[in-house]
Amino acid sequence: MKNVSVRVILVLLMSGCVWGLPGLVKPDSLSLKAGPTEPGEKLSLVWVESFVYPRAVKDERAISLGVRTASKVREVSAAFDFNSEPIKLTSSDGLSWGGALKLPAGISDGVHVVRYRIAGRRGQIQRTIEFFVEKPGLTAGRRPDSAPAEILPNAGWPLTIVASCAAYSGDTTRPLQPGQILVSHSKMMWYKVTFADGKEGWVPSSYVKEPTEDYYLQGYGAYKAKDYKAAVKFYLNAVAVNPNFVKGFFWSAKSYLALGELDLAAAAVAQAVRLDDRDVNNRVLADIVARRYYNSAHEKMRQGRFNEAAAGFRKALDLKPNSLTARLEMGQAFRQLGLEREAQEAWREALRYDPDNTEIRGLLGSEIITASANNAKSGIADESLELLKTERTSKGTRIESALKSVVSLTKSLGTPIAEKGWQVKKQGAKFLVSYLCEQSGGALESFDWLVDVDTRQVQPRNENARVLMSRW
Amino acid sequence: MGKNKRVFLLWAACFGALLAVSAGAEFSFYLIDNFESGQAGKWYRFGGLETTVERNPSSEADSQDTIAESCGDFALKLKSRAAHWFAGGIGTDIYADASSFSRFQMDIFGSGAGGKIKIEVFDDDNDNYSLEQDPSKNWLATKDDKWVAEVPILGKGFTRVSIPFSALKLENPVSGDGLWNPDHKNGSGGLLKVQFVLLTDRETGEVEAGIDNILLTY
Repeated sequence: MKNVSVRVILVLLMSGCVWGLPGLVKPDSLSLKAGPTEPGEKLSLVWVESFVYPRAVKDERAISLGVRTASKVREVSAAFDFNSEPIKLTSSDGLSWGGALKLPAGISDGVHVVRYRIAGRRGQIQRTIEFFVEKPGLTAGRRPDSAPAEILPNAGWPLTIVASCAAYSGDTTRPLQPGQILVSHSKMMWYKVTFADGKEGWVPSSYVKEPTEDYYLQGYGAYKAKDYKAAVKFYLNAVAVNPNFVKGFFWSAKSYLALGELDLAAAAVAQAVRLDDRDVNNRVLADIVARRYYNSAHEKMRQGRFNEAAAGFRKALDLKPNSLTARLEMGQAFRQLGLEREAQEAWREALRYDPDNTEIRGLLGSEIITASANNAKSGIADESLELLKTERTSKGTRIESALKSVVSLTKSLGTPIAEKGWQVKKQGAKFLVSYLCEQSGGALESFDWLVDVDTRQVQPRNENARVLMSRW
Repeated sequence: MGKNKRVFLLWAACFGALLAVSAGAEFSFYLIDNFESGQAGKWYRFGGLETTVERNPSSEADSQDTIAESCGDFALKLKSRAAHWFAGGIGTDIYADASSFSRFQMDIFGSGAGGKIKIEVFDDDNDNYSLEQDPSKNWLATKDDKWVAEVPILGKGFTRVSIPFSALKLENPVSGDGLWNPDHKNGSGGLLKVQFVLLTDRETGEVEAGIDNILLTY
């Protein structure tokens, strides 16, 4: 019990220590849905902000959940696509609700959703937020000798004096001659160094030659000898000495690629491109890594692992934003997951690169969603259908019952009619739910409603549905 | 330190950070006040305006008015007698970095008596977290920008107004830098304060209104 108390106190203390962190959260690193509630929702709130942080969950597998409202609400809970058991969020003021959670082991990589249920005095509303789980890289378990751009611990690099100068050591100065070797500790305008006699001092950084090239050449030697781990170590040392050393990032990316560490290779080559986006070699390597991501994502797509595929396409696009096929397929993966808003965004972005692409334009229209085993997607589509079936007409009849009544009446009047059943399509951020009937001659009659699972709104979309809602 | 303890401390730090994110973040809106505490102590008054936090009547009835419902249990009632169209005002200090927001939003309850609310916001231009004003020149802001917008008080009932920052007009050119820059760069206090001034349609007479859900949004 004592241990538990100590741990709780420690968590609270540390949370207090990092209270300033929210200001450091980059907007693109969290998944956010915000705005006022819509007419028809069970609660009316001037503003609701729901989020998951980080948007892409990596090695630590820990996420922050949060809901903020501009008016007090009674309870907020969160349920995930992989576990519908709700988790209650806590709040001290009824306005800011939060919680941190460690994701369970065994959940698949890729896209997942959390659904917040926000309960107030008059009812409850929901908000659905997506986030990504990414496969652990070398940073978990198989950590290499150092992380990208991280200076190796306790390993000051050697410096060679290139011109006569003075170093400061305590209250005195020490003359230094060209060729003299020192060991560095830290670099600013001056280097903190250790002299050969073990004493410490400071020397202007303009008077020393840094070992960037030496590390680079050692790295190249290791790479040629196919000792990629050693090569990585040397290249990371090189970029630690000089964070703008493009070749260091480029070759560390090549080394990571040879080690099969795609995520680390991607991070390194992305940095190389950032430093010099006109270097053809950087771009070619970025394309190669992007292609690896794309191939892997494409294969996962084929296997029906849509959430992993979506995450893979996203990584490919981070390196090669103009890849039309990656954007197209990412949109298709999102659609399969029931994340229509993200799908539409992906395709709209694709249109920016190829405005005349008829395939993309077709996809941006409404499209029938086929059955899928994916929980996240079929869950939302099924929920839309259930919501519609149980909604009532203005006379208080359940829509499903009203439809049966209409069909029976039509048949009793001698009109041949075949019921084709329900169809659920995505339309924008909502679902178009239709009940289809075929008349003699093959003419289709449909009753169409637009359903929003978050706001629980059901609106008739054609005359058949409007008549049914008002008269049955 | 044992390995288990180190692992736990890392986890504690990680969770602490995440809790902090979930508890302290303001990503899409900044709530100035919704008066749900039942108090208005953070607001100062001037010009003889009377303020009381009052229960929102529509919160008890089964109202179909969604704006009224979103106003919760309490709103701030403003009441005054005007002289030369001026019926006093209220204000509060904010000191927020409002650079990521783009709109000022509030709900206004009109009693049917008409009138206007002049919204005044000040951004810090001399980077000292302070608003310098000249009492001899009608409290003119002398070192910082003063931005204003006027909105009518409609009634009876609640009206939601959402004013883009781009619609605010600079009222004191040459005092500050004349730029809308309510951020915390270079030690600036950002958006220093907001004031509401009640104006009447007639030169004299009583005016009454309510305000609620005052926030900055994107």
